[in-house]
Amino acid sequence: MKNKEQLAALIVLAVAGIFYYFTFNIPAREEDGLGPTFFPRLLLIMIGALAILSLIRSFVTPTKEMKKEEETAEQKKRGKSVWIIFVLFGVFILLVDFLGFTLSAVLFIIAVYLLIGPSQSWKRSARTLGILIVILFVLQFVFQNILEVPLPSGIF
Amino acid sequence: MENVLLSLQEVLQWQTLLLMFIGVCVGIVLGCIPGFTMTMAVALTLPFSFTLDPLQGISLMMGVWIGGASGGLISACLLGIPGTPSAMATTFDAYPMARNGQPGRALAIGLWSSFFGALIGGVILVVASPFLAAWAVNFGPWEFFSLMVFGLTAIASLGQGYLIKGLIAGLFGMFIGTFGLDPVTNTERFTFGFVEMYNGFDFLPILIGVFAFSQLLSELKQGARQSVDFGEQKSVSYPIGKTIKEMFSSSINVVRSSIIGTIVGILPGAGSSIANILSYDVAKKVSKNSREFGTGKKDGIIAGESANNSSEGGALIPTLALGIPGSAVTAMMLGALLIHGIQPGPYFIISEPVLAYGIFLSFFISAIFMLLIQSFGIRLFLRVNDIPLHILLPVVIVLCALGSFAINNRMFDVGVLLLFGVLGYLMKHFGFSLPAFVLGVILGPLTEQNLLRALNTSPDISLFFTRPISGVLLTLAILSLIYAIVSEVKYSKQMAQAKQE
Repeated sequence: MKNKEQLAALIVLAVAGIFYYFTFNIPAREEDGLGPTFFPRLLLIMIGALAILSLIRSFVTPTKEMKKEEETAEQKKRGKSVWIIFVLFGVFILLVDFLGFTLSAVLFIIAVYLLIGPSQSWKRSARTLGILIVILFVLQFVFQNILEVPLPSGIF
Repeated sequence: MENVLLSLQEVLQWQTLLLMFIGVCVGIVLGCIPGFTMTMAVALTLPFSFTLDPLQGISLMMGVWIGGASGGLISACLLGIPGTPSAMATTFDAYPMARNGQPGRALAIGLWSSFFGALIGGVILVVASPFLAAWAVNFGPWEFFSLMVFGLTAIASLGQGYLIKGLIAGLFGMFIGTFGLDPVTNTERFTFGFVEMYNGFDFLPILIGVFAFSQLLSELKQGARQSVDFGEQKSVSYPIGKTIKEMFSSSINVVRSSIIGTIVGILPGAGSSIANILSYDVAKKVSKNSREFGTGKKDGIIAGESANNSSEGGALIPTLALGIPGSAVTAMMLGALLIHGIQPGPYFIISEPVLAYGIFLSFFISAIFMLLIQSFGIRLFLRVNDIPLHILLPVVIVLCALGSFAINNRMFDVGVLLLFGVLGYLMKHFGFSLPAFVLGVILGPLTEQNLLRALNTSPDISLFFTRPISGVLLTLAILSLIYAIVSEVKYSKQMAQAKQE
């Protein structure tokens, strides 16, 4: 892949193409006038056209004006952590039905802390985690008791 | 007048005042943290705001907004890093002034400039909104459609990154807005078998996902934040009398910068960052001592801070009077009102006068709170900068999850939060404008409704151009695109030249 711009344009083009294909599953009747597919298709065509334009532009003006940001090894490592946090959050969502909100959130917080927290003595780590869990309980109290939001309790 | 008094009565209830007070404190705290933008701060307030009544919810958001704008000043003065992007030009003179041994003076001038800027922007907001709304009452679907097209093109062309990407982001946001049942025929579109999708995606998890979740993770990727070594700083206090005297000696600058800020704020997409830099530039150009700018000159601080705070009043004008948000924050305020079933637009001030004037009043009261809280609590807020990301991040993510769950009491919305968190992160990574995307999501359904209504009334497309107001708005949209194209070409040439050198 020549550069980030081309990759972005190709992804956008692919997404627009896939959703355009999905529009054929939308039932449209003649008496509906322009119908429910008109506006989404119009948008997708414009998005696709702009993606093609962006792709052409990236070939015509190759990287001279596109800032090439070199990522440091540290940034790459942190970039990986970001994706792990997304996965952990996905696991948290799946766990809520079984373990309830509180326990899942505690596990999520511990996992995130272990991932991005500094390497320090277990005593200091335990103290930081303690602070985080107290903040979690305060937030939960506010939502459950003041804002009256019934949080999932899981199978317990 | 009766409505104003009723609004005053509502706003002066202790619960509303307390919420504004808390909002301003939270805003200042979050605004202090470099990388934690005002938009993120307001996004995190959303879950609380929709459980409150509309005025209380908006008052809370207003507090966070006004506090956040002024919070960016602290790190701009003491670190030379704008706490929020809208404090960029403030650093040019505030930081040198602080380094010259006058951190207290820099903070005091910045603070009072913020206050006066907010007041002047607020006055223009109160005066201009009803006129604009009265004018827009005669809008038909053609005008509304063109207005939304103008809003989107302006935000796409003035936003970060390239024009094409800005437009793609805005259009993609509009496309996301088509998910759910079709507004005319109630036909299912892109629901993928989920009953929860019949009403489309809720705004709230999208806004929180894009502006808080993804942004914070982007911050994690960017890495180290600097903290204030408070021990080395001289006193951060400065006599009020002296500050006011200094402000009066620069009163023309205060008024001019505030008016520039308000006008920039009205333009969709321009926002407080552009207001901040533009008014600094103007102040520098008209000054007799323009060479002193950048060395710690008070007029530089006054220009930047008056403008970024007055732009908030400006951004509220099209939001309340036309239903077209001028910035990411006002897009969220609009979203908060929509969650309550209230549609801002030309009829808003007429049909909801108590709420409308209440919003105006909360703007002023938040500005007063901001002044008081910043004046007395500045030492405390400086400490906030030291909160490490490994504490901030898990707390904010859990708060995002709680807020998204709370809107409909279902985990589906937490899944939506994750989806748009990932999407927002990728979009930022590839340089797509997030405000344009969110504006698209909010305006998408309205744009479709108005387009279909116009075409169902008359299939003649030329009406979009021949009806005077609609024609002017579409011309403005085209002009904003041309402006962006010209800017991009200029930028390309400059880059090519720089490379050759």
